[in-house]
Amino acid sequence: MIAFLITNMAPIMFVSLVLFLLLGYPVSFSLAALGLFYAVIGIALGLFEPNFLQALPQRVFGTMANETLLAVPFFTFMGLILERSGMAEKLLDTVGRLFGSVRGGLAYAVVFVGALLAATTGVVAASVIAMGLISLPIMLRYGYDRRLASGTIAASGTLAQIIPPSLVLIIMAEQLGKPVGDMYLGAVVPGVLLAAFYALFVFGMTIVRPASAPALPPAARSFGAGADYPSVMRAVAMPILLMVWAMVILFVPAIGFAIYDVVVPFLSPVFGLAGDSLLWSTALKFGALVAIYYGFFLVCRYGPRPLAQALGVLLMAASAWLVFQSLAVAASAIAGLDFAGHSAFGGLIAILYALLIAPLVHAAAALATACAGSTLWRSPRPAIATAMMRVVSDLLPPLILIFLVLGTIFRGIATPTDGGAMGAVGALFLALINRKLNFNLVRQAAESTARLASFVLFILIGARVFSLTFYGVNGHIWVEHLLTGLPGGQIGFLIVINALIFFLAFFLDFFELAFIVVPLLVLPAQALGIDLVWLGVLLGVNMQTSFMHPPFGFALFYLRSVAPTHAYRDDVTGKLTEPVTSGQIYWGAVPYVIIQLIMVGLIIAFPGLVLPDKKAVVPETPIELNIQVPDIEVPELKLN
Amino acid sequence: MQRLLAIARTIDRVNSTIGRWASWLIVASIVISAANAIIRKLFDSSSNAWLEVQWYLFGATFMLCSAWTLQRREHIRIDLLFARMPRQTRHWLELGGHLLFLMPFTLLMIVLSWAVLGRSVVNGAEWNSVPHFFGQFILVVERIVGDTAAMLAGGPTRWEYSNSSGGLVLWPAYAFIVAGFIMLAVQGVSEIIKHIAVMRGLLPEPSGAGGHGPESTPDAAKDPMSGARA
Repeated sequence: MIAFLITNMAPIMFVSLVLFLLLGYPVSFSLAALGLFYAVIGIALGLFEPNFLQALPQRVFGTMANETLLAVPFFTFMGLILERSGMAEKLLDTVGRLFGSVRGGLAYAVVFVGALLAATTGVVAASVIAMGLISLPIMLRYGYDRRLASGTIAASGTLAQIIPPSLVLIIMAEQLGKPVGDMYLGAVVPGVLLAAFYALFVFGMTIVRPASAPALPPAARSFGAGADYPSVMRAVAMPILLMVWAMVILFVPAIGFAIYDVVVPFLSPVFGLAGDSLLWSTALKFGALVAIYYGFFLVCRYGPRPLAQALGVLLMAASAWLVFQSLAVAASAIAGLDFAGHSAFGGLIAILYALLIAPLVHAAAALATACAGSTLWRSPRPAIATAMMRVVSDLLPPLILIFLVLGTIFRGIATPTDGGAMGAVGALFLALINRKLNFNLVRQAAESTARLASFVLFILIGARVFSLTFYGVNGHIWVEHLLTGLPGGQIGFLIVINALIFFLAFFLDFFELAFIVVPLLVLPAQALGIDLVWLGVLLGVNMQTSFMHPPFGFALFYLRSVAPTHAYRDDVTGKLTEPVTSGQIYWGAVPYVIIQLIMVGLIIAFPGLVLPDKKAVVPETPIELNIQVPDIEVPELKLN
Repeated sequence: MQRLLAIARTIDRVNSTIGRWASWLIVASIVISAANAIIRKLFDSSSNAWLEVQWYLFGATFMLCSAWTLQRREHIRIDLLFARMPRQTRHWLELGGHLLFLMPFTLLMIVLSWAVLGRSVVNGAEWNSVPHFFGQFILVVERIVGDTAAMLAGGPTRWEYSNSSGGLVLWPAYAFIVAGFIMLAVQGVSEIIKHIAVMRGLLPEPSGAGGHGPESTPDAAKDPMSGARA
């Protein structure tokens, strides 16, 4: 009996942990108490020294003195302040109007705003609640399919879990012993791809069932009296491209600067004044963008008609020149194509690149100048200029926050913890500017953050107490043997653990998964030569599903709590609107869970999505892909 | 029983008050962290002491708020089965959990971390020579007061510093651990009293099962802040 206990201590511990956790007593204390209980048994059996437990206070201290985990409360606080700062509401309103004219436009707006909010904060609740309160009623009003509407909102909200700066990635980095910055960089492409897949799904729905996602009627996307939709769209084209350009400058200065030589070559001597100083040339070039925008705005708003029209003509001419340039670039790219050594597929990619990507900057600049030119030709139009200013001032805050947090982290200016703190301060400023900042808001945010930090850190403390004993009885080696013995090597391991995590996500939420399950995967993954950053991002995408299905589907619960539960009379149309049922919310999320699984498959097949310099794990990746492709059909079927 | 309930109410009040105040430390930590980052970038200087203050404050926050979190039933649980149990079973389970899981863990942590706190201000031999808690307590208080006075006077101190150069004194961090676990144990007593009172019908059933799950989901429309956890 005792011999059996000694040799099987690890499996016994693990099974009893599962049983006790299922009883429903708080996870943190269950973990700690079981760890202590088995430590006492271990001491009684002579497995441990009697002073075994004295290491405990140092373990607690170790969780305290952890700069990485500090980022968790910082980003939480930031998210809570942002949620009430009014930023999300304005952003949704504006982006909803901009996308309004296309079929499914509101759904695209939700995905786009979801991704933008996700890049400013790591908190799901904020975006789901904002989108549920603002976009859902509009979507219902204009006859969106309820499942599509609610599923898109819930799924887009969960993007916060994977697009940096996400809490999942911070904790994953801490558990896997990798820098948070690496984790963030690795998650950028998968996160953006996921958002693109969501949009693709919406697009598919508008093709298959056009009635499920109609375009907004003109009245619903007007920008106020005197500012008709097409004119505003023309007016904002240049400002929006300027903002994109500005972000490129901040994130990848080399590319952002190169665009100047392409678009405004005659300004090069001016920028030469800055010399080699990166700071000064950034400031100068940035200033040029701001000056261009304000110049455009002022002429549009106040400029005398002849001046505006003259400028308009000039811009049109510039646009024609840029069109010519972009054609020239495309032509030279095509002439330079070398098909030798390319497969047919590779050749196709090269042609597409030459036709679409190479002339992109010129074409975009041509579009912007043409739109700006035609706006000025009809000006001065104060209402248009005011609407344009509003669009810009609604889009700008999230972009500034994204730079403040992610830009500083990616460019190595700040650690993730610093980034979180700066983001939190930025969010406070934003709330102040929007006149939403008050003592109560800060107090509530601080208190919620503190309690969140408390239960998260206590799960970690509990897990450390448990693991002290579990590792003491060589539990990690037991798990390693269990997992490395799987058939199929790396791929077999990855498939099994992803299936396991997906399954466990129905029972555990992500904090529990990250603190209990993930540490056990480190050793086997290393033994199989798996990159831990890749593994972390992969598991992050996988765990994102747990926010989209019961029983812990927080995105669904938040949406449920703000979605109408009773039939109500719509303010605008006066029609009696049916409530959204929980079943509709749950079923609406199903296609997105499937998209998520497809993404997991893609990351396994193409590690390059996370680690640009890594080749595929196995040479025969296309087989993996073929298995995944049929799944893409499923979401459309499920909704019908 | 009424007397016990009065004790429980007092415990709840004290712990929630401490928790509410302690949560402001996270705001302080954010401000200090942002200032650190900006100063480091602009003036190219950094101080380990100010870096350590960040996590001292964070540690204080989560240790001192834990009892309050327990009181509000926000320590997360897997309520797959729990939510489906009859109320009486849930109370028994909570009671058993508090008595068999929470109390032994917190009491052991108090004893162990008290020793760590003691050894960070009193040297080992001296510490071992005082067997009783009261003696230890007096010694620790005396040493902390004495060294604080010495520090203020610019004299030498005997307490332990963190390993990084220019690092902070260690004992406050250990003190937060001790204080946090004491508060948790005391809160455990309060919870036990309250569960017994509810089972005897002396207290109304608390609303919400705690933990998570559809029925205990925060009503985000009314109180979005309760949605912090995701």
